[in-house]
This record gives sequence, structure tokens and C-alpha cells, in this order.
Amino acid sequence: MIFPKDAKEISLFSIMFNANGFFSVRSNFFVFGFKLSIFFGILIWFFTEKRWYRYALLSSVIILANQLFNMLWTEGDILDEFELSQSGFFLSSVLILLLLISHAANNQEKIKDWLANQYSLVETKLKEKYSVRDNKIIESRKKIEATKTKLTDLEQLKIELEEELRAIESG
Amino acid sequence: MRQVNSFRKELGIAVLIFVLPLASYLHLFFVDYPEDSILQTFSNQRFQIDIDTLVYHCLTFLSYFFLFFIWLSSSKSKWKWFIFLFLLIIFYNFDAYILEISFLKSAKVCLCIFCVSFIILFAYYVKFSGLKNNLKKNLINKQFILVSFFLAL
Repeated sequence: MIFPKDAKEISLFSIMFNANGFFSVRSNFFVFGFKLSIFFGILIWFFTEKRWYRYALLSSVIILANQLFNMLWTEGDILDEFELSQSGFFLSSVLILLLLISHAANNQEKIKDWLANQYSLVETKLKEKYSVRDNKIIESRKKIEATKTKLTDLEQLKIELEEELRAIESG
Repeated sequence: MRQVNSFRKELGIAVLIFVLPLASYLHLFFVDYPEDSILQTFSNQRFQIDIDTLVYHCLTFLSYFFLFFIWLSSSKSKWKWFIFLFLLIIFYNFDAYILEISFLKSAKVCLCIFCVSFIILFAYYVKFSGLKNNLKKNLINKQFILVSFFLAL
């Protein structure tokens, strides 16, 4: 890393970094940077996700935010020890919110399922109803085609007979 | 029937996403290692930390790795391969904390792997962006790339 090796404290964007229980400031900053990158990654996921389960990501957001806060503004040699108990209230709130959202999502899925069933039922009925009419239309078309063929044959016969008559008259 | 199954799948993902970040903390409550166990001795000799802390770190890395893998596999966006950068960050940190693979310790090797990954991802971006079509949309995507780039750094 680009920090001086023997530095005791580093001021970055008006935030003071000290060893905070680590061997050096560099180690502290390394761990802090890792947690921060994961935190931003999860935030990006949270804001880009459209499905309901994105609210479950709040658990990791809360835990990571708490860890980052403790790293910056709490003095002590212990890291990642009390975050679960500290954020217990927020986590249980998120859990309750998730249960409510999942219940609503389940109901929505049931309604969607019911509507899809109704749609397929209507489609089947319509197909049954119109298949009889379609068959009749096909049969009448076949008849018309057959009549057309007969008419064409008769026309051909007429032309042949007329030619024959002309030949007799001239001959 | 298909819709109900999709809800169950989403519920499973939600439970995993909620529980995974807490797994490393919960492990401390529920698992107790004997003082003279082989794991305890190994952890003390190899890492100079107790086994609880070692397992805590391993579980943290694995859970976040798994979390981002869930994101990668559930995302339908054509930009989803940028999540690969986060997986790379987690892997490198896991290596720095626990694995300590000597080959990966070289800064040049790290930089090469990072550059190659980023070039592949950037090529992916150029392929799908349609640079001239929608300026605003492309600007957002460029910002996303910059964020990924600096986070990876």
C-alpha cells in the first residue's frame, strides 16, 4: 500500500485512521477498505434489484455499517465482536418487514396463478367453441374449391367443343 | 404451479441473503471448540489466533463470496459479469487473511490478473453497450464501471 510504513495515524478525507488494535495503520486500512468495498457492492445490489427479496440485503447492510462505524469511531482491541447484539433491534425489524413482504408476495403469486389458470380455461373453451365453426368453414372452402375445379373443366370442355364446331363448319 | 415454485425459490434466496451475513456471528454462539483440540492447536501454531476467530474469518469470507455468487446467478442484467470483480476482491482478501498462496502474493501477478479480468469485462461492456444509441444510459453504465474499477483497486 502507498502509506508510510511506520505511520501511527493517517488522515483521509478528515477521518483519522490509527492502528486500532492491528499491527499497523496499513492493516487497519486494508480491513476497512475490504469491508467498505463489500458494503458498496451490496448497496449496488440493493438499489439495482427489482424483486422483493432485496430487503433481505438490509441485514448485511446493517451489520457492515455497524462494523465500519465501530472501526472508525470506537477505541478498542476487539474487532467484529458485538455487532450482532448491537444491531439486534434493526435486524428484528428487518425480519418482521421481510415476513410481511413475503406474505404479500405469496398472495400476489397465488392471485397470478389463479388468473393464469382462468386465462388458460377461457382459452380452452374458446378453442372448443371455435373449432366446430372452423371445421365448417374448412369444409365449405373445400366444396367451393371442388366447384371451381368443375367449372374450369366445363369451361375447357366448352372451348374444345367450340373449336370442334368451327372446324366442322369450315371443313 | 410454476408461479408458486418461483415464490418458493425467491423465499429461499431471501432466507439465504438474510442469514448468510449473520452466520459467522451465530457460529460463535452455537459452536464451542475444546481447548486442547487439534484444530485449536493448528490454528494457534499456524495463524497465532484461536479457532473461533479463524472459523469466524473463514465463514465471513465464504458467506460474502456465496452472497455475491447468488447475485451473479440471479441477476438477469447483461452487466452481471461485473459482479465477478467483487468475487475477485473477496478471493484476494481471503488469500491475504487465510490462504496466503505465495504465487498470488506477488503484486505484479495480482495486477496482471486484475487487468486481464477488467479488459475482458470492458470488452463485454463495449460489445453490449451500443455506444451511440442512448447517451444517458451509457453514462450510467460508465459510472458503474468506474465504481467497480475503483472498488476492485
